[in-house]
Amino acid sequence: MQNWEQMDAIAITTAVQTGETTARAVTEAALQQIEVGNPALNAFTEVLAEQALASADAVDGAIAQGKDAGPLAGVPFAVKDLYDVSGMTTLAGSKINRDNPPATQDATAVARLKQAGAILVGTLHMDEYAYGFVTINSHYGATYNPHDVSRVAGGSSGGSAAAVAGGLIPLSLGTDTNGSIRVPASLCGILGLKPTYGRLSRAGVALFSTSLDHVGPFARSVRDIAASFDAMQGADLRDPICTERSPEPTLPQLPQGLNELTIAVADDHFATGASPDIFAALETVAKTLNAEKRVTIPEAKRARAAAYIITSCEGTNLHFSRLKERPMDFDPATRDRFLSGAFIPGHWYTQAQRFRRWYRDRVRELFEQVDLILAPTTPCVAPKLEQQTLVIDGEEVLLRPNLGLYTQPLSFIGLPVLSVPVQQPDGLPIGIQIIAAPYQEAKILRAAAVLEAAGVIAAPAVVGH
Amino acid sequence: MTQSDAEWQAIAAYVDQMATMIELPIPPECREGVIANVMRTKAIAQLFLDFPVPDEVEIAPTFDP
Repeated sequence: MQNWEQMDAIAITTAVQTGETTARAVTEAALQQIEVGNPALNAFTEVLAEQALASADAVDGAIAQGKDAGPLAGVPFAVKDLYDVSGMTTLAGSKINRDNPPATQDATAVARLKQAGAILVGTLHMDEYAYGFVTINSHYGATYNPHDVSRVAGGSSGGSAAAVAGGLIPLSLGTDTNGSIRVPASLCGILGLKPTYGRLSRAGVALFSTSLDHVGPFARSVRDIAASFDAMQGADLRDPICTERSPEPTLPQLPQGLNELTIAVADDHFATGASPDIFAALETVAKTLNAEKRVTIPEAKRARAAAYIITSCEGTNLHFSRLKERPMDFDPATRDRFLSGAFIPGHWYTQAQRFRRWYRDRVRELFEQVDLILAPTTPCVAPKLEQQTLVIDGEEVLLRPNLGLYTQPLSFIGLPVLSVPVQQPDGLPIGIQIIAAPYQEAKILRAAAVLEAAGVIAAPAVVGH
Repeated sequence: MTQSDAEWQAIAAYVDQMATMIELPIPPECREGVIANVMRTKAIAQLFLDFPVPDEVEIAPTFDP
């Protein structure tokens, strides 16, 4: 296959299903691309060549027999190394988890993509236990940005974003608690969807902060995000917060365009702090979508603070026994933060959760006036690996926590959000968030498809780093 | 002693005593970093702790967005 690394998942599966190529040929090309491209990016933690080729042969066999091989037949994908893959130990970016036994079954999201015919080719790098926005990990090194390998890929799902942006695979999965899908999608110039809280099953995924954890896909086209999201929908008794709603396919809705959608730009918290090129990209997106209104998401700064407290308490609670028994085996980048979460008074946590309820109700009211809201994803383009600070509104602040400036107040109440990439002719890509009311992913994807068709967003693979 | 010195000492004492209470030993090389993080967390929490939430607003037991 020629230039397969630039093809999106739908183009690949179409070629496989029409006999233009085979799943084996695509998988071999992906494995080759990973072998050549991964050393510069450090995106993969494990490559599952044998397993992938066996799965590809099964897909080719099904197609040869005239069977339905699934909507993603022959599409290579990989997952953040906190999704269980049967037979492998789930490391979650840690050293400590190396002592765990192998997983006995695939995470539900992995199983559903496989069921749709996709081919699992490996696992992907991350910040330890998903606590970070940069994917600089003392145990396994940093993941590098395909647009400029002297810059971070973002995190915590950095490997998932870099592998797709670098053309190693067309599709990957990550997780997002405070921005860990959207931040790396923004910095690597691809699409990353954080669905509604509870809409996709988290069963078999190493959790971080259960009130806020989401799973979701990365891809280079809107239709790939829609197709993979659709393949993963559905109730799951293994995840106590997974919705019992019937799946609602979004892919068939993409051609509906902006019909009757009211779109606004977020002001206040979301209209300050970013560099001018970010706001210029946001205006271009807003103009294309006829978004003339401005809306205020109330108390977003407080929401961000409350999200931090909940994350810290729940993350520490989850890892308490490990913090007690093996503190020095944690990554220094996460250790002191995890330890400090043990000292948060119960009143603060409870108040953060009550504030969350209050804030959710106010934002629900906002969505009675508008269908979609636009905001920047990150306050800056991909920073240098060694960069420690950032200037926001004239004040020098720590870089790492502030990469979540605009993402945290949204995941806090489980809203569905897609980060879409605006490419700069002579610069690094910029991410813009498209935000909807709960369960309205289809509206987001319709707007994203309009932007893609207009050439305002694009995610070409960056190969040959 | 400045106000921030006094706050540091107060939080350091809190961390030391609470570590005993919850039986979480803090490695000596981490103590300073943990205290600094607890101070930062306190400043962050103030952003919403002083916001009045009506009594009838309760936590969502299973969060339904």
